[in-house]
Amino acid sequence: MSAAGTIELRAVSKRYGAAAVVDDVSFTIEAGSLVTLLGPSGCGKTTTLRMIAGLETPSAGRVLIGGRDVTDWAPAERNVSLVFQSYALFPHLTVLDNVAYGPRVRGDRAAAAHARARATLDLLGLTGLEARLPAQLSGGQQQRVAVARALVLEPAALLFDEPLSNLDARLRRRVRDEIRALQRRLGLSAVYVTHDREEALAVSDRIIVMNGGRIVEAGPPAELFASPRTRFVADFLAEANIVTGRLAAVDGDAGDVDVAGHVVRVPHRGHAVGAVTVAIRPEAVTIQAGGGAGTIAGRVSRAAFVGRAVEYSIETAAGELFVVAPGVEGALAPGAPVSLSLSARGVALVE
Amino acid sequence: MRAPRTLAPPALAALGAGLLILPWYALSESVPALAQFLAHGRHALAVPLIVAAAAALAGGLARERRRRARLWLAAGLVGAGATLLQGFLIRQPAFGLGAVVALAGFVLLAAEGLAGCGHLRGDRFAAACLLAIAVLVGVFVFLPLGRVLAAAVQGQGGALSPAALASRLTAEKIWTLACLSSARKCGVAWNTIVLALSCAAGTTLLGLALALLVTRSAFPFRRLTRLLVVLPVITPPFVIGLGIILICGRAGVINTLLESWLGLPPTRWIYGFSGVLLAQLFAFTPVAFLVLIGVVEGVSPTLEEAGQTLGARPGQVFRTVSLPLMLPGLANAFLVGFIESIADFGNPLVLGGSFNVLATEVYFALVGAQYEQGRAAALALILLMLALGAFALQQRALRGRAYTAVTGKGDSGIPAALPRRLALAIVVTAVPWLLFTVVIYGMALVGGFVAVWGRDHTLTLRHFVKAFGVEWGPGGILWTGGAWTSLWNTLRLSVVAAPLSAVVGLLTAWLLGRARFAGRRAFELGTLLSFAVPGTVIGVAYVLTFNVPPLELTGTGLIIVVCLVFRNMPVGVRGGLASLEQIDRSLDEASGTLGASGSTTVRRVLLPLLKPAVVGALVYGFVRSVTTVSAVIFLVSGDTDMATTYIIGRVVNGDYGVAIAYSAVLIGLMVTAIVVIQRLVGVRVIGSRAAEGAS
Repeated sequence: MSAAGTIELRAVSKRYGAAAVVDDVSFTIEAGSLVTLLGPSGCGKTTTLRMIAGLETPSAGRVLIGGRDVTDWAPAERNVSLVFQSYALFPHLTVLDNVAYGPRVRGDRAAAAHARARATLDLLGLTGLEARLPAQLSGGQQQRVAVARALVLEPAALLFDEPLSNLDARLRRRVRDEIRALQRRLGLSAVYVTHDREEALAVSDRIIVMNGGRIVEAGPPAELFASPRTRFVADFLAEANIVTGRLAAVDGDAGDVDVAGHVVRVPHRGHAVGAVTVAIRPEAVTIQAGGGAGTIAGRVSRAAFVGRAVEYSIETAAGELFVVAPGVEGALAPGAPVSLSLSARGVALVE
Repeated sequence: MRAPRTLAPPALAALGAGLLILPWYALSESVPALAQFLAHGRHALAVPLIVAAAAALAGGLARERRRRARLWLAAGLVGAGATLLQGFLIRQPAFGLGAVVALAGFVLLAAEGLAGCGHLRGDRFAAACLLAIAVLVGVFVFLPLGRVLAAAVQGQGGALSPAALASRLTAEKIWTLACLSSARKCGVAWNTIVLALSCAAGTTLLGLALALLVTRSAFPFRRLTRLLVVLPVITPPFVIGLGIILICGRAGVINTLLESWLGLPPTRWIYGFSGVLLAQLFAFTPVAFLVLIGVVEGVSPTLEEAGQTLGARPGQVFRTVSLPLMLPGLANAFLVGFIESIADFGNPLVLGGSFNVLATEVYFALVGAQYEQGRAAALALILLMLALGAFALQQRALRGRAYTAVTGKGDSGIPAALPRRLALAIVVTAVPWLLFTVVIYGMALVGGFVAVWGRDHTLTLRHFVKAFGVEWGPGGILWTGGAWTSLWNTLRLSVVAAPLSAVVGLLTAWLLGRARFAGRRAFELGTLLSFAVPGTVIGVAYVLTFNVPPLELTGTGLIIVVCLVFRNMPVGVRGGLASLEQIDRSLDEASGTLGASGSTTVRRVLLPLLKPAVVGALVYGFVRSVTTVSAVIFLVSGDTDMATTYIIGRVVNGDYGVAIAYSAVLIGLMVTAIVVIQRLVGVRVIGSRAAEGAS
């Protein structure tokens, strides 16, 4: 439906006084793909998004949309639409007039603008709500109206600023899947900002993880999740335990890593034999009561039943490990001695 | 992708028209700038001409967007600066249409450049507003104030003379303290300061008492009190003074009664310090009340409840919790009272007798038999310094206000009851004040229908006939009443000025609240400054500045409109800023990303949501335009007499009946105007949960 465009940032920085909120960020977003900017609050992801939209002016660097340098352009001149965290629906306009606003201010006649708005509302399953005011809609409906309003102009790119943060947990999953399905169906370029790792993993073609105004790592969700390069991404994306181990031997792409006496074979990225930092995902640890040879000996210090699983903190020689064990029968009590073994798929060497 | 909108064509068109077609000077046979330069030897005009030509060329030649924007920004600024500078430095006739249009063209060009460089998010409309308002405030606020300073420094013959300034500023008539030790009078500066301090203290106390009475007590007439307290805001300033004269004056009720019962001879005690102070207390307590009601309501009841649960008695809670939280607000109210008092012109003129303050002294220095520009300027300077000092203190007090507003939501406690003795004290002060207000308004109303107050109390309509008589003549209606001219003038000028001041004020608020640019704080202070400048100072400043080329405006209605717009604009700024804070920024941003320009966003999104602020700015602009005296009295001419200046004239002549009748008509006019404005603007509809979609 729309002429999807690439988005490119070249060495973009945003400084307020001496403090850099976004520091030398470069990336390219291919046409038709959905890329997530993920990071903790204050990491510069929203500022980056706003610079793409033209709502902030970069202190340095260039922004290109569809191959054109739009750095000095007003938001109104850029062919991108933003779905706001607060939805930003105009409270004095009906749903139909909200969605028709873009076509109207770009010069369409009222009848044509309303026709386009109706078609888009239909696409999002909002038919029947045209005459309502935003205050008369549920949170989920408001969210979809906001998406409809952004879509109606068939923008080169659709930008999402934490679009789900005002919805409750169940609705969040449904709307998330709707957004992804719509983006795929229409072949839209989209940039999606969130601090929710699950949301990011679920919707993205690519994830760009940011921290302290810089890009830490970028890649497809599964790849970033399974084999993070950095301690930050391992921690932020997978809540991995970061421990010190020893690379005992290297054999081609794989190596034998010793963590507190337990050895696993994992891929390595040119690490030398010796001390290494190991990221262990909580669900990659198997717990057994009692002791066992070639395992990590430990003692339960805390156990919390969270529904589908039990979360343990285990004291070990490698430090305290956070472990998520599925299956709730026979939960271990604090103080119980346990032996841990690691599944190679959930272990990665990080910098 | 859409082609970027640009201001370049209108800017270049304005430059072309202003420099090449329209007459440059305001003379009947004036020719355009190009001809002035070529044929009349006005070489200074070369700069704007060359800059404009260069800008037009640059538009055609510079292909790169950013480069062209920089060129245009430079051209606009240099062109506007050069045009104004040569106007003030070189003796010449007054600017005409050509010069004004060319200046507008330069400003538009600079705005296009500013936005093109990516400033203000590339919003041309915001850039144009910013530069236009900056230029207007510069020309109509800062330039005149600078001119006052210059006039105070100029000695006889116009040369700069610091000695003249020093002797004028320290003149004995201004600063003497002789009244402390002898029967002679003290200096006007001391008069002004003592009066202002008394007025500020009195209005703050009364305002606090009334605010507590309305919000925290079981007083039965709270709604009526609210109404009564706000009434003086829409009253012409001297109605209260007149009411006081009718009660306490020589032929007033009190003197008459004393004479008939006790045989005491009537006295003139009301004329002087006590009368002026009394009038100011009634005139300015509403302002303090409006400030303090917000302050009192801002004190979080939960904090008071916390105090109570910790074992404090009501008196202790008030003293240790409520009062300290209100202190910044009280300081603000005090300073507002101080500023209002030193700026007050009408009451001292009507009731001062031989008691002079700076505001009236400035007027007499310039208007009386003695036309002393230097002395008037020096007096105005002292007045200005007092006002700016108070204004600076007030800004600091307002910044300290932060902690009263910290608790926003979840504050559903019940305000603590007032300590009993305090409640009693409040009733004892507030109730007489309220009664006296009723009496004054009653008198002021009755006074218009009485033949001669104090002597002949037969009811009559002759004052109304004298002012607003209408007869059928051979050629149609004859407006025989003496007041028609001034009433039409007031209406005409106010109807023009009120929307303008609302537009300028709200646009300024929009820039301050939404746009990000360097020098924002300075811009804010600059636009609010004119509020603190006493009207008499502005009056003198305008006379000094706009009597002479290149901006020669005196004697026209235009200068009165300009004066009203820039004096009333700060209220629009404040009201607009407060309302904008309630509207989520993302609404404007959404509008922008959907393709709306700044002006479209203002018109389609913000204006409908700002309707209450629009009504407020319009009403205030209109009411102040109708009731203002101090600045306008310097600017009126025979053709542009205003209602207030006409009434002052009647009062000074002792013709109270007509003055009162006219005041009553003005009050009726303003009430009508308020209703009309509310009908015209309408109310905003945003559904059951107001502004929820935005929050």
